[in-house]
Amino acid sequence: MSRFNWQMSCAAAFAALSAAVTPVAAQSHAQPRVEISANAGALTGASTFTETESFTVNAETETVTVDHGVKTAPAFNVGGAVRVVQQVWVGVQFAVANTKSSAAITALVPHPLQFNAPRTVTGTLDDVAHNEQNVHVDVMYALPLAAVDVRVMAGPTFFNLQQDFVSGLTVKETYPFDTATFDKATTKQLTKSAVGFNAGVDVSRALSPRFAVGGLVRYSRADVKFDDASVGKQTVKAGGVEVTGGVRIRF
Amino acid sequence: MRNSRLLLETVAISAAAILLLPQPGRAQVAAAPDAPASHRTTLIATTQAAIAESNARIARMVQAGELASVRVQDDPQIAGRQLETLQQVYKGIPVEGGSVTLQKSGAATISTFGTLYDTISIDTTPAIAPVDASRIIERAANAFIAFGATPALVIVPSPVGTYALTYKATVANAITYYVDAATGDVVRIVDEKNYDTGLGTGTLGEPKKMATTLINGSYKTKDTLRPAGISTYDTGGSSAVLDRMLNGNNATDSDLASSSSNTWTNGYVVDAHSNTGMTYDYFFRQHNWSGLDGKNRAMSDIVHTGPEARNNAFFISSPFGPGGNGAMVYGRTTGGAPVTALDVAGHELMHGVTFYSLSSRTGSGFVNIVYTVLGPTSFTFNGTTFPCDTTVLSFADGSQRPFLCSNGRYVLGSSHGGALNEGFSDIFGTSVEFFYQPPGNGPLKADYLMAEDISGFDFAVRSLDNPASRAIPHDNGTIGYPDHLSKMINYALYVAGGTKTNPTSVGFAPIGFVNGNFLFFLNSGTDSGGVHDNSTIISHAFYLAIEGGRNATSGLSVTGVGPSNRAQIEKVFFRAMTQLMPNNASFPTAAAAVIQAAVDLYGPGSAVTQAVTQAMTAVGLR
Repeated sequence: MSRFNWQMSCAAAFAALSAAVTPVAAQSHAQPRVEISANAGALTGASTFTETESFTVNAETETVTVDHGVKTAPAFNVGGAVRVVQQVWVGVQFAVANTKSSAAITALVPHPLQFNAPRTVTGTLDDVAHNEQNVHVDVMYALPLAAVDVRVMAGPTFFNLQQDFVSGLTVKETYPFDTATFDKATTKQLTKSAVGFNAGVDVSRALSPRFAVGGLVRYSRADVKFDDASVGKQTVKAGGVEVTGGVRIRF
Repeated sequence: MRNSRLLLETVAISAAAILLLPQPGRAQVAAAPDAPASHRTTLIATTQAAIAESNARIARMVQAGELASVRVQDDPQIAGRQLETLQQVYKGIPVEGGSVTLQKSGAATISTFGTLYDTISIDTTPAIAPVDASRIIERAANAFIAFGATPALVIVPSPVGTYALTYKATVANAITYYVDAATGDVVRIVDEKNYDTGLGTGTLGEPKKMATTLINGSYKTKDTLRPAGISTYDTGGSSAVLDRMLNGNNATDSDLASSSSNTWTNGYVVDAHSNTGMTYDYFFRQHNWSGLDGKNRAMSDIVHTGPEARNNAFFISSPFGPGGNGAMVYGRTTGGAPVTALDVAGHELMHGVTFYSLSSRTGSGFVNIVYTVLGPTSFTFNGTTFPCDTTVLSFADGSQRPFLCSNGRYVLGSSHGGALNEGFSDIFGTSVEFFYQPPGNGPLKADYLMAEDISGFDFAVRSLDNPASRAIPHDNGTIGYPDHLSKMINYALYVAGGTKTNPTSVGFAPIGFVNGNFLFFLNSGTDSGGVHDNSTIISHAFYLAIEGGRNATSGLSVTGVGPSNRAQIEKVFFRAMTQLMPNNASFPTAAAAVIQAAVDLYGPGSAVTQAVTQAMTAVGLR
């Protein structure tokens, strides 16, 4: 799915939800029918992932393994929800989390003069971009608590991931080439969409009938599969644990 | 791998035209010395007493201006040691083959090897001018003197204690001529090329990495990964192109073999290029030696299908070859198979190592000293008896030359330096095989056979482990390669320069003797005094020092260091050649140098020293 398509999908879904709740809102004026929220916090990557690539170097196959670590990215989200029945809400949230982290590179670089004599090269690649722009569509259930408003939620997530991959490796080496050291790696940024899921809980406290503050903890996850001529087939785990806090405006 | 015998004759004659002419009525006109080598002293000093004695002699000769230091260099293998070579001179003129090499540690001498000539008395005023010598040489060679050089005066000792003032110059294709400075006669011709003979099937199907360079959109056999740089040129079979490369020093990138895709299917080129590279790597890894001269002199291979390298591979030294850096020339067999096996490449590159290491220390490669022994007064061939005093050698041009006799006995000789040169090349050709290939029999397996992967030319294969198992063909059948000094093949010497009473130069006649007994007549030549035929004496010692075993001739057993320690023996032989060997070495001198190298590297009581000492004893070299 392209980036353009999932944005259009999100807008369409929210519009459809808004239309659907209008009759319900008319039934109860004591409870808010619509809530708009904005949060900031952090997204911790769902898990590490390993990028494995192969290149033809020195008439043999060079393998490059890039270990991408757990990422914690600043996360922002905005969204809206509507109440469809007494304690059931539906909502859509647009979340952004961009990060640049380091990745550990381990490569087996073929010897230029001998067969079956690869040199192990290790290095670190900095500023590896991992940018997520996700749309969470949830069904929420509001717990009947008096002190705070608590909603548990779950639903599909439409992930859009921009990821840097290693597309080439250069090493420093000299005769007799028994060892080589990492020089630099070239990267290529790919973008890919995928559908996953999310589940979470939102806790808020009303400061006035229309204004509340709260926090959101959500776990989301999808395997995003890339397939590119220069980096091969790679699977990256998108999402993770998102912890944010912010404001809610209720109508 | 083997010399082309016809090309390597010390005197350029048509061997088929040689006639032995018994002349019963001809009287012996002069007595020859009883001990042909009494005028020559071989210095082998590795003990304190011997070193003191040799040092005293050297000091006297330096004081008298008879020895001059020509090279001093640091020992690259043992810190704090120096290697110094002194050249013998007589009234300022170099004495061919007269030099000593000292291994020093500070002021102390560790070892001395060399050869010095005694009682030189000769008029050093040439009767002919250098320009006349040039004309004589160029007319005889039908070629120009290489690089416009002027013939230089040298004093050439003969095996019988006489000396000749000669002009020396090298013409195109690395053939050196000696002209008697008194008479203008050409008295000696030495082919400086290291020819070898082999047959092959070309590529054996094994994958090879080719270090190439992309030039103008095409991949070329120009290896820039190895510090020396290795270029493999293809003459396309053109003799003129080969001549341009060897004698004109001119080869360009357009002469390199090329491929549009960097995928190489021409096994001839692949083997030449990659095997030279692998040999370079072997010398670097095993011996910390970079290329031909240890200093990364540029290296060139030439693949040439023309007649100049038919059934041959050879090394030609500086100043010939592209850039004047020498070259390894790989031919094809008459059946079209490339002569480019890995051990052949190792053999040829070792010729370069030998030449440049000797040259850097002593001023030249191996000099062709003829070491002599006395043979019988006559021999019988095909029912005819040929007494030494009355037999002459007749050449195709009608000229005749007498044999060299001593009290009526044939004086026999062989080229120790040539045999050592070939033997060490076989040793390191074999070592390269073991470095890369698993031990075993068959293609691409490491063994002690030379050129065995080139099928179809079985008689050219030499065996280091069992020399006698391989046959040297001659006119009466075959004889096994020698595994002991007592089986060394010596050749009857004839008077090539001067007169029977005052010979100034000798040549090898194609009449072989073993242990003083007539053995064969060779229509095919003399192998330049048995340079390949006798090479197995030293190379068999190498085998025994590693693997151990019993020498079939002496019956003596050797406790080898074992295959897992072969690198130790390789290092010993390599040090002996590159650091200690004098350019005038005899077999015993070489054996002493090898043992000294073992002492230097592993200590006097080490298993390595014991192994090489036992091995040299087993083959009769000490």
